[in-house]
Amino acid sequence: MSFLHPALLWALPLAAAPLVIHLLFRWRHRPVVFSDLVLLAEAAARTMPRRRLEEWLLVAVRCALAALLVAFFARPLLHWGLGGPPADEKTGMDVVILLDASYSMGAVTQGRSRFERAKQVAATVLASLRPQDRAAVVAFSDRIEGSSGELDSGKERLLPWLERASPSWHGTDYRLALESAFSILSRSASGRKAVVVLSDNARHGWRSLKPADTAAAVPFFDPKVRLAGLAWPDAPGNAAVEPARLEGETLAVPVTLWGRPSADTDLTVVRGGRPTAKTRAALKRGVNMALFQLGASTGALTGRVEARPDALAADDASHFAFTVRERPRVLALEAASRELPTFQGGYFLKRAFQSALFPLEASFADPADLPRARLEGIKAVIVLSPEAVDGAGAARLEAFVRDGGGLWVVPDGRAGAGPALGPVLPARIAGPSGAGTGLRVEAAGALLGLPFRWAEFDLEKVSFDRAFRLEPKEGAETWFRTGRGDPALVAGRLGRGLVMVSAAPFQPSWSNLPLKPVFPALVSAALLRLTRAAGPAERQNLRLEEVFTHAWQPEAAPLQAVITGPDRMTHRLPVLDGRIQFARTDLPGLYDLRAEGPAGREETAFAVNLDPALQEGDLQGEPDVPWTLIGEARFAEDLYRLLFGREVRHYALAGLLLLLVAESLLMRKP
Amino acid sequence: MRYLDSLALAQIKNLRLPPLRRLAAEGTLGGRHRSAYKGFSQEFAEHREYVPGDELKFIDWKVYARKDRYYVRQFIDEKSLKSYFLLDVSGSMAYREGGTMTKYEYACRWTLAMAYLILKQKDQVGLATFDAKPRDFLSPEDRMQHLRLMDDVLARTEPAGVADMPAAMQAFSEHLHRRSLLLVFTDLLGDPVAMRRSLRAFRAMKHEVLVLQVLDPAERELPWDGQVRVEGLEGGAPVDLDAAALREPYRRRFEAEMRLNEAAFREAEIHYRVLWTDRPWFDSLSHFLTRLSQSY
Repeated sequence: MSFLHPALLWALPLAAAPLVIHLLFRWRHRPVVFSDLVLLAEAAARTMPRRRLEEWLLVAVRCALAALLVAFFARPLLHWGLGGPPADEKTGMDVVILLDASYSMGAVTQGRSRFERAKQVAATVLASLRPQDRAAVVAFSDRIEGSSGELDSGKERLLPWLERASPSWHGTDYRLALESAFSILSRSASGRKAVVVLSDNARHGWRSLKPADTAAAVPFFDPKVRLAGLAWPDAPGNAAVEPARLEGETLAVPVTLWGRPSADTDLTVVRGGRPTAKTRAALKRGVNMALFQLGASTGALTGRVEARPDALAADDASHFAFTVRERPRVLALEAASRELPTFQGGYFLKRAFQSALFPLEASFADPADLPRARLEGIKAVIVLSPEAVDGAGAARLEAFVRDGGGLWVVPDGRAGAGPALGPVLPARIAGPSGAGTGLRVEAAGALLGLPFRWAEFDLEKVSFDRAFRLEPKEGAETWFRTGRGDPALVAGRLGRGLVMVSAAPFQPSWSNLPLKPVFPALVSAALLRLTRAAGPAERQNLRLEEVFTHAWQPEAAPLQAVITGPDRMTHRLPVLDGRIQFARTDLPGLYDLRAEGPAGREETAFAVNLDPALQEGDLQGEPDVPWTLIGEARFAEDLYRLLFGREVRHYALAGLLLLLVAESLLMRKP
Repeated sequence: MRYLDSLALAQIKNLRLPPLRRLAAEGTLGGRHRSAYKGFSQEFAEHREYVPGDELKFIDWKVYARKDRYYVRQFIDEKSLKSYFLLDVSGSMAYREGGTMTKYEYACRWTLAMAYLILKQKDQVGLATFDAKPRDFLSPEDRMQHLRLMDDVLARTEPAGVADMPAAMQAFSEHLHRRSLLLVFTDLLGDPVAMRRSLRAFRAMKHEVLVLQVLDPAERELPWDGQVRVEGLEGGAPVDLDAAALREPYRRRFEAEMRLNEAAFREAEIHYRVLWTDRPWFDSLSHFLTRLSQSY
């Protein structure tokens, strides 16, 4: 509510006059003498409380009468409801229209997207501007997408700008938008200013600002600026397909259901333009996981997962691109004749292989069978029973290593590495070593490219009760040491291959290493190094506008790479220092990368998806937004009424009459 | 005399106290009232056997001659009525707002006028004043000079203090050995229930009780306006009130209390009358006597 003549409100304190008079007379008692007070006090105690209530009621009514009288002459204006033309047709207003261009505005309701409807409303507001009014339009998401500039009264310039505005793939940040609007209005001297927020009032738009904090939190905030927004009566549900993960041979697709307790949808995996898998998913509110068995395959794995179209089409599909490499094969040699008790020998290793902890294919064989074993395709051999390897077997292994294979000799608890393998090893086993606590990583360079950092593990908690003392041979490297500095794992080249030897068997009676979380990491790192398998594949699934990086070995690097986006636009990138960086990932979809280098033609792909953390799939509006919500149908008209109000002097008059009646009724009471 | 000057005497000269037939006085002196006891007077009642101590002059020698026993003659004795004027002299009796005089002065005039009329009938009048306890006491006398004594006592008395009628009546009752006529002048303000109970106690002792409630019209009307702080003549915390707002509820309460008085005294066979001080005391007295003569 406001007033046409607010200066008259200075007379409002006069409304307190009845109260002051009442209090003055109430506290000024004329002393009188009476014969006896018993009856009088009794009657007073029975009567006065009610009488006092009536008196206060009367005072309140009189105060209200005076206040309403002042309000009547000040000409009150209402800014809500009631309909009718605005009260003030002459004063100009400055208005900044904030047009939400986040991708949730792409939600289609009543046959049109919210963005189109918001644009239509903005156009209506601009069209209704009077010559004395000025406006500016700012399109925003979680950044300022575009602005028409300073306040301008030229509709002919603003309307085409508005027409060109398009939705983005970004999230929502109201703080940024409001700051921009207040900043524009701070340069205006107009008496009437307004910010019109044409948005879906997204709940997720307040990450940097709580709705209740608006006044205090936004720079340039002006309390005189009126905030109006677009009300959306519909709040559709929406299922958002999020970026998939590849877990083994399974494609795991998170699907988040927003705004409904439950719903079902059809999920389709499309690869190479053809649907390859389909399932019906019964979704519950929140994150649901859909699993697709893709089967064993290697090489590039690209495609998209589609859901049945719903209100928001932008998040109905997510794209994926994986490179499935062949798993290196490893042969573990362990004396099969020995009945190995639990926790002895290769127990832990076997359990680790069985639980698919490592990206390796492992098979076990008896060292006695080594001469007859087929080592084709085997990348590395782990010898868990070295004493069982005879001379022929050792010769076979030496040839295997020299030919490029990897060998890891884990000493036997009784006999160490055995006599046959001694010459092959990169270190001599020189008797027992002392006990020690802790594990140190020495070969940081040799173990680069791992998906973890050694500091993540409590290496100081690894203890060696017993160990063999390793004396590295010339050219060998110590990769791990015990806490007291003795080598725990030594590696050395032999021919084209690599040989490693540990200082202790994988037995708790020697060391607690197999029981520690670092054990799978250490074995994984060692085997990856032995097999010369590539580390984890480079990231091929990115969020929107995340920089894509691709690298080649210097000798295999091409001169340039060509990336083709989902819009079929081609980008040629020079390869500098064996790598490219591509930042134009501003569209969700699959991007193809082609390059021709000395190693031949390389074709790969990467996927770019919307960031699910933005929660733009949630189409439910924030119920407590800091702006007055106005319906779409008569937005411009209601906006003017909100700003200028509608005179309601006749209501004040009616109120005056009512209060007069009430006053006379109260006065008539005995 | 202060309360019975020559003008007052001239006014009441022609008034006559009706015979209080209902009251059979038990006084020892002769008077206009028939005694409840047989005594020695003119009108013969019966004989009884002589007992030592009887006066010899009442021995009926004729009966002795016939019966050879001593008999004495007994007569219906006419005895004087003992009337006590009990005057409330508590602070509230000094109140005067709407009346022509204070309630105390009004009661005094009534007292002396009534006393005069009673003395004129050869009856005895006594006086007792009280507030929280008895203050002055004059034994009943049948001499006109007694009026001056009463006037002196009343003239030097200033109404003050808190009334405690039950306590005062209790103390006064110790002076009463015979059935008497008690004329109580009070405003009955304070604890009306206790007051009524104490007066009913006299009635239970077979005394004839006449309660004359002396009131100022202001005590019924609350003649003030606006916010007032009321201080009581008998003390107590002042009461702040809106007089206009309280007038009607107070009046209802006041009248209810008077109706209660009336009912309680009627039930106890106590004659009860309200004397408003805005009415000339002589008018109210003559009216009272007229009504009394009709009722006795």
